Amino acid sequence: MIYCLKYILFGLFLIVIQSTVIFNILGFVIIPDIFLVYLFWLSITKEENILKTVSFIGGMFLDTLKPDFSFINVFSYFSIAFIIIKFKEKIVISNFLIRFFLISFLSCYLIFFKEIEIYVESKIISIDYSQIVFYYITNLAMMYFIYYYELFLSENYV
Amino acid sequence: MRLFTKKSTFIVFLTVLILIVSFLFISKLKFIPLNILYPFQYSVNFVIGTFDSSLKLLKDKKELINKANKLELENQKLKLEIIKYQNEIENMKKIMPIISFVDKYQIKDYTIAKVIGFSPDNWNRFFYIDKGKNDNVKIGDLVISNGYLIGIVEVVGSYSSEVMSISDRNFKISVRTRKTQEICFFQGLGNRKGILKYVRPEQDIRVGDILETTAVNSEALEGIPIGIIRKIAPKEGEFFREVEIETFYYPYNLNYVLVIKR
Repeated sequence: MIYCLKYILFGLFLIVIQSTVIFNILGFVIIPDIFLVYLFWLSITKEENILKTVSFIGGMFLDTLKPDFSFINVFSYFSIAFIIIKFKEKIVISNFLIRFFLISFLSCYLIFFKEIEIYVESKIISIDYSQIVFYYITNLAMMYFIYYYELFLSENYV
Repeated sequence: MRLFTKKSTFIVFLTVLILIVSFLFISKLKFIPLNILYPFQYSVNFVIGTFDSSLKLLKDKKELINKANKLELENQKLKLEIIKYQNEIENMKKIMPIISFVDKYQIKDYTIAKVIGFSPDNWNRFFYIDKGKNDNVKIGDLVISNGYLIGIVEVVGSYSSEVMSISDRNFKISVRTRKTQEICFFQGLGNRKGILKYVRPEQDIRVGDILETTAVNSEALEGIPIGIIRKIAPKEGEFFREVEIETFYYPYNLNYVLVIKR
């Protein structure tokens, strides 16, 4: 636990950054899910247990920030950690297209859970397509950037 | 002896002559020695003066540098003060609409808060303000920006509060239309959108009409605008009509908000 404390604290710090006015001041249409990108980075560089712990505690923190307490974030981020672990080899080894589909799947999985949650709470189906598209593109771009940046570092400096 | 006498007489004569001439013209020839003396006096004085001022300059150099530094510091402080007052003016300009709203509705118990954060995900639409329990903010207090209702306080901390915006899909409030005074039930529907629920076919709902708060079934202040009716459509197979609302909540220009206490 103490070993992964710094990763947990950094994850919580990223969630705090997400909840500040920075992205609104910068004029972002959506708030980028940097916590998800952080989990993705942990999956390709660190141990599985760290990823599981960080995703659980980060999800819990996200849930406590909501006015109504549901375990939707704990469940979605914790399960996403398991999915990443399951497909970790494929993300690292496979070609560009399969990697693209896997990374897309992570975003779509979260979007699906959030929409389900909203429907259960409000009994309204109203999908904001522009929000979903921007969210998906931002996640995809950030994950690809992290992946190739890590690859570049490991090839040149390790 | 004779020669001497003559010579001495001549000298006496010459002396007397010089004295007479000097006596007659001395006042007119006084400038000559002055003109002769001037260049010397001036030169000496100039050299001494220059030397003296140089010495003084060397002596005061340190003091002058200190004075210049002090003045520069003062200058910087004044510039900082100017920037500070300019910011104050900008803030006052932002607060002015809130003050005019308070005057218009004669609100007595209120507080002005600053928006300090937003929900960390894109599916929940709430924001944080810098006033909490210590400022007597309570759950259910209305939050207003630019004269429009933008949310209700949901969670209160000691120093900050969480406000559910009217665009959040869990936001529900009873409202009335401004022109026709029809009572409806409003629910948020995502980005700048909302819907009116349970609108009966006989109700007089018009496109372009403003929705405002009502005291029916709530403790809200009456007549605060929420949004504008954009679309009315009969829902297939259902008794109630579907009414789309464009809300006045726009998170990108939120800065100062008014919290009306219950």
